[in-house]
Amino acid sequence: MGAGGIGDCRPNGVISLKSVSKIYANGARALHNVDLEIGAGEFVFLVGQSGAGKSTLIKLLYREETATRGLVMVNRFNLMRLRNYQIPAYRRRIGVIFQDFKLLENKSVFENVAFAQQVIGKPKRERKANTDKMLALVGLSHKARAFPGELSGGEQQRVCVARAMINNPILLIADEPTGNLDEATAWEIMRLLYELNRLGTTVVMATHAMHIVRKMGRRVIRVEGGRIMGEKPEVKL
Amino acid sequence: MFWNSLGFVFKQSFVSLYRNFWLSFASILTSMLALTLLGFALLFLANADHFAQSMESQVEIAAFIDETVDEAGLEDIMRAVRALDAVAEVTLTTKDQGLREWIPDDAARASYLEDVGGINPIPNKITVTAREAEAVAGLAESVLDMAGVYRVNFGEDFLAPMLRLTASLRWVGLAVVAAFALATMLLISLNIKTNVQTREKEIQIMRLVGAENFLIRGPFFFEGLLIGLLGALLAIIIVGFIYTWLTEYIAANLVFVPVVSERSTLYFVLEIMAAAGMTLGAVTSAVSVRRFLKF
Repeated sequence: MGAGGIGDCRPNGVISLKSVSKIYANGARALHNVDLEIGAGEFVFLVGQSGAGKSTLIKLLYREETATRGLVMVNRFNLMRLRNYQIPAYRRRIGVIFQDFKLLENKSVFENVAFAQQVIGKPKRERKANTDKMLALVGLSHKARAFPGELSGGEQQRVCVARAMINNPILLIADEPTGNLDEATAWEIMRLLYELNRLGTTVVMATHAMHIVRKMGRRVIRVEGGRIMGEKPEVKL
Repeated sequence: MFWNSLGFVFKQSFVSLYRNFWLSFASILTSMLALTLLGFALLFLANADHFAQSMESQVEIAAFIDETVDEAGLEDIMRAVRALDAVAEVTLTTKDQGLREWIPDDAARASYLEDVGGINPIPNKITVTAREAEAVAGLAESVLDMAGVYRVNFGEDFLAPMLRLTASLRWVGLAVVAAFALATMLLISLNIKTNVQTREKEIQIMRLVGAENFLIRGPFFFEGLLIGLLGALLAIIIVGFIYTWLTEYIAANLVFVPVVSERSTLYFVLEIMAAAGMTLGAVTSAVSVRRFLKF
């Protein structure tokens, strides 16, 4: 990683956004002067209505989009100065899960999870050991040979979590991970995310599910009209 | 780690070829056709050059000298002809030699001379050999312009159309090769576009988990390279076999037709075909990947 991609951040901070604005090519202003600090090991909810800017914020974090102005630092990577060839190295340090799972239908559960290590060139033996470990962590060892079509929504999302976590990321970004799940299954996933967070992974989750947010009692950041309109600190339950 | 990645790239290339089997097959077939035509066009050009060279030794200009030119004048004309650029050789056939060549039998010749009143009607003739077949027409014109030369004869009826035909065939051949090369490029490009669409989700995931660009773009690049290479291999087999058979057949049955039968020429053409196939595949995929695989 060249010097351009790495810079100083607050000592324990994982995410630091300063005066960040994002204006899309069509002129739509998605974020306006956003300041945000998220420390290591935090579990943070991003809430707000559709079009509020949550997804743009999430996309900035996994460097799908680049901010028009401001500073975006994630885990000592300055995303504003990250070159295209540096993006893979950055993405290996984070994990991302989505509402629509994004699993490969023609690959088994095991292959889907191992794929994340295969494409970064990990040797076969190491891949197998890590995949077995991750499947055990998400409670899917017994479904290793099943295909995504044979799994429930909750199980599919757990496969995604296993895939996102297999490269030991310091940060897990979740974009509406419970959006396609029923109440009980959604809580299954939340329990898993809670567990991963307890083990030290910073979690940033965008969601509409306010009942989950309330019940989890974690730090909440409310985004409206591209601005951060309020924060609710973590409540230890 | 590098070998794992390389293995992944190669495996994906073959999987992609197999996944769109008929499209890959069509691309390979088209590139095979383009390269086969290229091979035959190159061999045709080599043979045309060879033919022109062999014609060169056969085609001579005969310049006929006016009766009024005396011996000194004849010498002057020969000196002037020798001084021309494209001239390889100049020989003189005198009136007497000419008559002797025409009527070798002494008695018959004497009888003929008696019939024509003792005057040998055969003119002095200068035979000019050109260095290149292409120069013959121009050279004949220059010789005809000289004082004392009243007529020139050369194989214009045969050579000029022959050279014109060779030149046109050269262009037609190149145009056909270019058309097929373009068709190959379009098919390879379509192949890659289809594969990018088929693998969209996989590529999205690869990018998310931090796969290097080489691993994402590599399979498409190698896929194009493979199509070009497979097309070239098939074309090499076809051109190699047909040309070898043709030269052997001509050597056995049409001995008077000059044909390039040296192996080195054929191998050189086959090497060009392999290189052209790979270049065609690689360049097309590189361009297509840039076009269809946005980051």
